[in-house]
This record gives sequence, C-alpha cells and structure tokens, in this order.
Amino acid sequence: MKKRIESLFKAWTRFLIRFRFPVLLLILVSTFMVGSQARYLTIDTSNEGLLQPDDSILITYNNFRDQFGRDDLLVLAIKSDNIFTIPYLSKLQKLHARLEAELPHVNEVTSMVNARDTRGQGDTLLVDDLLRHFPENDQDLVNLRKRVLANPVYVNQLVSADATFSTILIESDTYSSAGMGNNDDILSGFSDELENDTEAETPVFLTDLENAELVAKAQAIAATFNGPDFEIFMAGSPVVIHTVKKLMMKDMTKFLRLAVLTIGICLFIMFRRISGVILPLLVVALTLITTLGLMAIFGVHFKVPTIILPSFLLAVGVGASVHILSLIYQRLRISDDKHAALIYAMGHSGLAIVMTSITTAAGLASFATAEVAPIADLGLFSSIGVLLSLIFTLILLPTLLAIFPLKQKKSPQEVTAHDASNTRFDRFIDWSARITTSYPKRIVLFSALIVLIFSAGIPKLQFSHNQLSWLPNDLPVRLATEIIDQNMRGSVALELVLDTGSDNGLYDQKVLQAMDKFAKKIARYEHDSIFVGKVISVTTILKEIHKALHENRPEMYVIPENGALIPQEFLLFENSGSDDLQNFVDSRFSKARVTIKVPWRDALAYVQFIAKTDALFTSSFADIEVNGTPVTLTTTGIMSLFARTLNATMHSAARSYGFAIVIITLMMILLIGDLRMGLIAMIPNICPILITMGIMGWFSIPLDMFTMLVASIAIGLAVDDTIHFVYNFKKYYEEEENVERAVAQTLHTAGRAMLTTSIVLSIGFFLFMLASMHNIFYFGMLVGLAIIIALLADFILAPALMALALPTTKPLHPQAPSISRGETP
Amino acid sequence: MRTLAIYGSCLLTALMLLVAVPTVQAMTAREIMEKVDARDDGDNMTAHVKMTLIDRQNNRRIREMKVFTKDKGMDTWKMQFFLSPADVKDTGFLTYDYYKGDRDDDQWLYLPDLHKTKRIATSDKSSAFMGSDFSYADMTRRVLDEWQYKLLKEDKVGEHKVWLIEALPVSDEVRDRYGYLKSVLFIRQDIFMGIRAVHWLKEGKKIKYQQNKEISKIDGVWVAKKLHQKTTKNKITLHRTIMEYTNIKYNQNLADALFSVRKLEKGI
Repeated sequence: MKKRIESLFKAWTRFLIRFRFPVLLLILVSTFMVGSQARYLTIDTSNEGLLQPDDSILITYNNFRDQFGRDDLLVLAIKSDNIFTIPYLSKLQKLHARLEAELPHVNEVTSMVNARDTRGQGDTLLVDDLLRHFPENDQDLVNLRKRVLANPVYVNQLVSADATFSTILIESDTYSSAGMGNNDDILSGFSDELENDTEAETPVFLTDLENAELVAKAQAIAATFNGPDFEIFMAGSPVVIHTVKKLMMKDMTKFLRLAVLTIGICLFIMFRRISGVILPLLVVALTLITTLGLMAIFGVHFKVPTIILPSFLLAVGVGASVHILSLIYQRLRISDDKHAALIYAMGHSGLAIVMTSITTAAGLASFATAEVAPIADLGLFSSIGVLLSLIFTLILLPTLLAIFPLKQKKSPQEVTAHDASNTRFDRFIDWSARITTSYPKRIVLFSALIVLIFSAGIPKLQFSHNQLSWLPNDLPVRLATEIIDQNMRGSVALELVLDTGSDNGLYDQKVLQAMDKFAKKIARYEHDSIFVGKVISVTTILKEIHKALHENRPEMYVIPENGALIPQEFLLFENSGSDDLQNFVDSRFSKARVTIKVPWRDALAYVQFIAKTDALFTSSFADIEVNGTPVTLTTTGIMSLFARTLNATMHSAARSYGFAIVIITLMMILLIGDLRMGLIAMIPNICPILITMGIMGWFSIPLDMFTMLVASIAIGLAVDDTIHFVYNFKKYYEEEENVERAVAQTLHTAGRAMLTTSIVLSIGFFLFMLASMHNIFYFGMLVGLAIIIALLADFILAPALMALALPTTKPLHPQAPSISRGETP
Repeated sequence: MRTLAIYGSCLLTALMLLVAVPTVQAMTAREIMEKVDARDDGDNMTAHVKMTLIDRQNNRRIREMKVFTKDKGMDTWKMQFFLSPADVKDTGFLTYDYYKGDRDDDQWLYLPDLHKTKRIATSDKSSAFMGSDFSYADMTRRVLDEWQYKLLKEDKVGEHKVWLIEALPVSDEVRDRYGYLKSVLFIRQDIFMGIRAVHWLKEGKKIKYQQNKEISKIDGVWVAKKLHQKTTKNKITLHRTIMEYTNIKYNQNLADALFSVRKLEKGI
C-alpha cells in the first residue's frame, strides 16, 4: 500500500517535470485570478461582526436598532474644575456646533447645549434647548448650575454630579450611506406607494469603515479643542472598535514582515542556499494571496481574530516545503541528478506531507462551525489555506525545482561542521533514547505528575470577552473609559424593550408605574463591579412633563396619579415640538425602550447582570396585564451582544475541542493503522494542551476568543511531530525489533526534522508576542509554548510510552543483544 | 493688453449668459413664487383631519381631529379638537400662527384631566408638529422674502407641468428657524400650487419629501386633500406621516370667539 502511494507520488512528479512550463503557467494564471481579488478584502471590527448573521441575539439587536436607532454612543467627557463658567460653556457650544456640522454619519449630537429642557413657567410649558439662552452673568450661571444639577435627567448623563465633567454624546447613523446618489437622485426620491410602502429590502447598517471615519473626525476635532480646563476624554464602543482596528492593521503588517524575515533567516541557516529561502517563501506567499483572494470572493471580512491568519499560514505552510527540500539537497550531495532527487524526495515525503497537512487542517476546521463568526471564518480559511499550501507544495514546488537549476554543493568545511554538530546531536539522541526507554515508568509517572500539577489550574480558568482588555494599558481610550465610568457612572448600555402587546398600551398607568419601580430597583444594583449609572425610558419624559406642569416641584417628578392625565401629558409633550418620544416608544405606543447605563466590564459580569435584570422584570411585572396579555421583555443592546459573544466563545471552544480531539485521534488511529497505538500516540499530544490550559488557569490568563484557539491549533500542529515519530518508530521497530534502538533511529532521522519544524513554528507564534494587543500576545505565547512542550513530549514521553506499551524486544527474537539495557516489561 | 483680455472675457461671459437664458418671456423663480404666495388658499375653513404616523417598522398611530382655521390679516388662527384616540378625545389645541418670522407662534393646549390650559412656548418652527414628519413651518405659509429662489428646471408630475424651484434661506437666522438648508419646490404651472417639496434638514443631514395629493377645487379653492411627508436619510425612510382632509368647507364665517382659550376649555 505504502509502496503504491509512493510510486503514485513519483509518477506525479515525473508528470510535473515533463509539463513543467504549462503547469507553471496554469498555476500562475489561476493564482493571479483568485489572488487579485484580495484587494477587495474589507476590514470589520464591529461588535456585530463577531456574531453570525443569523444569530438570534443579533437579529433582535438589529430589530432594536431599526426601531430606536443606535445605542452604542460615542462619549466625549470634558473635564474642568467648574463647568459652569462662561469660557467653558462657550467652548462647549463651539465644539458641539463643529461636531454637529462636520462629523459624517451622525444622527444626533447631544450635550448641555441642546439638551431638552422642559419647564413650567406660570401657565406656560417651555420645551427648549438648555443653552438656547446662553448665560450672560454670574447670576445666570448660578441659576443654570442649580437647575442642571437638580435635574435627574442630566446628572450622570450630560453632567457629572460634582460638576467637573460635562459630556457630548454622539449617536451615529443606524444605516450605511454607501452607494447613495447625487442631487438628481435625491429629487427623484418620491415614492407614490407611500401609504403601504414597506421597503422590501433591509438597508445596510452603518459599516465599520463609516464608523472609523466618524471616530477619526471626532478625534481630530476634539484635539483642536483639548486644553487645560477643557480636557477631553473620548470613549464608548465606537472608539474602542476604531482603536482595535487601527492597532490590528499596524500589528498585521508588523507580523507579516517579521514572519517573512524570521522564516527566511531560519531557512537560510538550515539550508544555506538561496533557493532554500526563496522557494518555500514563494509557496507560502502564493498560498496567502490565494487564501485572501478566496476570502474576498466569498465576501468574508477581515476581523480581529483573522489577523492571525497571514503570519500563521506563513509559519505553518513552510514546513512541507522544508521536508521536500531537505531531502533533495541531501540527495544532491551524493549525485547531481536533480530530477532523480526530486522524484525520490516527493515519493518519500509525499504521503507524510499530505497526512500532516490534513491533521493541521482538521485542527483548524474544528472552528468552522463556531458561533463566533470570525473564529468560524478563521477556522475555515486557515484550514483552506493549509490545504492550499499543500497543493502548492505538491505542484508548484516540484515544478519550480524542475525549471530552475540547483547546484550540487558540498564544500569540505561545511561537511565537517555539519558532521560535528551532527555528532553532538546524535550523542544527545542516543542518551535520551537510552534514558527514556530504560526508565519508562518513572518518566511516565514524572510526566503524569507535571501534567497533574499544571492541570490543577484548569478549574481556575475564566472565560472572558472584553475588547478593552485587548488594548495596551496606556492607550487613551482605556483611561478615558475608566474616567467616564467613574465620573459619569457608565459607558455601556443594556437596552430593554417592553412590549405591552396593544396600541397605546403605554398609556396604562399600571405599566408605567411598574416601569418606574423596576427602574428604581435596578438602579440600586451593585454587584461584582457592576453598578447602574442611569436608567432612561419613556417614564423619564412623562415625569419631566408632570413636574413641569406642577410648578417644577421636585416631588411631582412622578407618574401622574390620575391615569387619565397620562395620554394628555404625552400629547402635550408631542405638541411641544419635541420628537424625542420616537427614541423611547414605537409609533403604536405599545413598546417602550429602557436604557440602563453601566460601566465597561468583562462580558462575564454582564451575563449575570442581564439574568438579574430579567428576574427583576419578571417579579416587577408578574401581575400586570394590558388587555389580558402580559407585558413581555426583550433584552438587547450592545451589552447583550458582548454577553452573547462570550457565550458563543464558550460554546465554540467546547465544540471545537471535542471535534478536534475526536477527529485527530481518529486520523491518528487510521494513519497508524492500530487502535491501541493510535490512542497511546495521542497521550503526548493531549498533555501539552492540558499543561498550557493549566498555565492559563494558574496565571489568570482568561479564555477568550483568542486563547480558546490555542488548544485546537496546538493539537493540530503538535500531532504532526507525533505522526512522524510513531510512523518512523513503527518502521524501525519492525526492522530493529528493539524499542531503544528504534527510538534512537527514529529520533536520529525524524527527530531532526521534528526539532527544526517545531522551532520554526514556535518562533512563528512567539512573534505574536510583539503585538500591541494583549490578546494576540497571549495567543502567540501560549501556542508557541504548547508546541515546545509537545516537542518535549515527543522526545521524552513518547519513547517511554512506546517502551511501556511494547515488549522491549520483539518476543519472537528474545536473543536480541540490547535487551540487557532495557527494563523488562 | 491685460485689461483688454479681462474685458474680452467679460463680454464673452455676458454673451454666454444671454444665450443660456431660455426665453425672454419666461417668468423668474421669484415671480413664480409671488404668484404662488398670492394664490387664494381659502379662509374660514373647517375640516376633518386624519393623521397617520408610521415608523420604521410600519407601526401606525392614527389621530383624528376637527380643524377650524381663520385668517387674521397675514396671520392664521387655528383650532383643533381631537376626536380619537379615545384617551385624548376633547383635548383641544389652539394656535396663533404669526406670519412675521421674528414672532414666535402662540399655542395653547387644554388638558381636561388637569382642568388647565397650558401655553406651549417653542421658539422655532422647525420642530415636529404633533410628533409627525411635518414641522410647524411645513404647516404654515412661508414668508416670501425669507427665501432666495432659483428656477432649476421644468418637469412633469403625472400629467401636470411643474417648475422646480430651489429656495435658499436668506440668512442663518431663517435657516435655523426653519431648520432647512434648502428646499426644492415643485410648483404646478396651471394653478401655481406647490405639489411636491424636498427639504434638506439642517439636523442630521436628513431629507424630507412632501407630496400634496388628491388636489381638487373646493368652494373655489384649490386644495390637496392628502398630504404625505417622509423623513429619509441616505434614501432610507425613517418615518412617515399621512394627513387626510375630509369634509373640507371654506367660507364658514367662523367667529373670532371660536379661537379663544375659553372655547378651547369648553370643547366643541
């Protein structure tokens, strides 16, 4: 069977040599066609982009945005010793005006400048912008200060309670303006079927690019206003997203350059030939371009986790070429028949390359069904990439080798140096083979102990989703978020939608009172670093009018006691010219939005908060019905997206681990052709994973959407070495019929390759530790570590396991001389 | 030599302008708008109005009102009583709409359950009328001199020929008061009546589309029985309003006393 496959590969190589020019042309043309699409790749770092389009939580969120607009505001908090001074307020007014006039994709800018000011004055109800009549003297300022700080609507929303901060809240457009037309298009925008016009096509939500334009412009404008006594802090999800995106682009180019450089250096050290550097890099470069082209063709956006992809493919894809080239160069030392060397190398390594590529791809593919969208993309396209690199290695590499001349190279010094290092390495291998096979029980026990100690950390593992924690600690947006959370009591919103199920259900006094009570209760929530800074809903507006209608008496900031007054007060408000109600209720007055502001925290804390909110709602609305139907609650908003992303991460991790382990174990069994040996061979692969996850637990590295990738990627890569080990070991054990000698033989031949590929791979991953983002740093560190541990396991644990599992010498030949050195099983 | 060149180019520009002007006898935009302004839009009117508000998700809210209007010089008085929904029945709304731009309108709303009439002070006409897509300014007559007009082109809406006239506010104050950066008005050539308008909003870069439909002559006055207004941004409709007038009658000889706070509190 093996022979058949070998001759198949040889025949394939002969074919390639014969048709090398047309094959090269074909490859270049097809690569160009697919790869040229890569320029259409787009980047998306949005919160929504982390979930699959059909995710029910995302659909709910989109419905919410469709009805009420965006909830993830951009917050500018502006610090001063006293905000109620003429210079501060006029500067605020100017900044507000500039933001309103110049920011693209903005729906609404809100600050003290245009805050809704509802007041009663004699028999007149005033609804106006707060700073329409700009204060002119100290008395005006004192009055303004008193009025503003006494207004529960403003405090912690537009001003801090101690009057040292005021905010400008920027709500971006809900929908994208991409592809919108000119003046003539505008003039023809009339639709005749206005009355039952349902707008069949759903508009595209504001894109990541538009968000970036908005944030960048806001930052530029803010920078010109920033100064002493007018210190501007900018936070909110749009800013975090924008910052992540900027860092991500920076990091990605950095990784790519570094990966090419280090891999090139490694290759040169290994081969000392230009072709040994150029050819593998060419293979991975074409792989990368084709993969990116495919992503663009399938409309898959580049997202934060996907930035791993390019340098990952470089590191992983290079291995196969290395195997083939090392064999060819080895052969070329003996003879100068390049084609013969090529055919030999392909025949010898073809199968191994296919097998290892497939296990790596399987490890990655285990993410393809992940509920976190970019993880699924990463899983799918990195496994496609690995397979593409396999194809390029099997087609392009031999073709290029057949076309371009290779020198026969063997200088005497080089050989000596090489041989010297060989001897040292060989001596080490002999020693290690002796030790591991002589004391297998101790080694297995010792390994078990280490694994046990480390994996005791696994229960300490915490799941996490917190984009802010990805960012470097000294980044302005982190500081700004902290300051805003502290002073304005929150920067993230949980949005609730209460549905009364009937028209004008929100005129019902019982409902509004329950809403008010619920809001008061949830406002007192304080648990696990989460507190509620503000609750805003339609009751806020109602209480505001009610108070204004009653001489602005603070005690009248309540739901009207006379229920019949409720619709009249709403009507009054609507006739006052404000369209603010649209932000809080639907047109039928049946659904109400409740916004709960909390500080930016890890989604783990939000999960609990959402559950608590749910429970509190259920108890608050237990006996409240409108026209016989109970009031229902939907939780949504940016916070629910965070919580859902965390949840999806947990599910995806569990599923991927299960899938990766099962598939890879099955493949291992299949490849080895022996159930027992296959299972045993998995032990040195599982151990590194357990140790790595244990390290995460012990060192409080959270399991987030990046670190969750570690286990499956590491197992897919680690298993390659084990395949080489077991595959060779079996062969030598058949020949040698002695465990120690078979181990030594295996490590002498395959061991060297295992060592080099593992070093290249781990360096490839350790490079990610140069990332600006913490999450990428941890990811690189952990995978690199896992690969090193896996290599150690293959060198130490695997031989010991073989010694334990197999008779030291084959029972048929008990007279084998080396038996004395081994332990009797 | 240089002066000559400047003169030459001036002459050339002037010639080109002369050629560009379509026909000598054509009306200027300003003249058209003067005719529109002078059109008889009726007086002493009573009508039944049904207002439908439609949001993004096609949720509808319907209000019905009985409306009375009376011209007072250039100003307009308007009394509206709500007929439905039941929750606000008998609530009345009185408006004195002053033609002069610098004077804020007076508005009163009677809240039966509070037994009080409240005057509502809003300082700009750009705000929404009863939560609809119509602003107060859309509901009233524009001051002719507050806008600069430019004839864009002639076109047809249905079988009617129209002029498309661009109107720009003459000052920042006017712009802020109306909340419009610009409007394009579609004026029907046969009856000098605006039948469509596009308004560029100052706030949020939104665009509103107004359509006056079902135009017919009642008591000698051309009137649109159905008004549509939709607010859009980037061609996406955010909110829509339909106003339907039925039972329209003019020249009803309405007494001044009808437009008083006393009457407001008494109800129809």
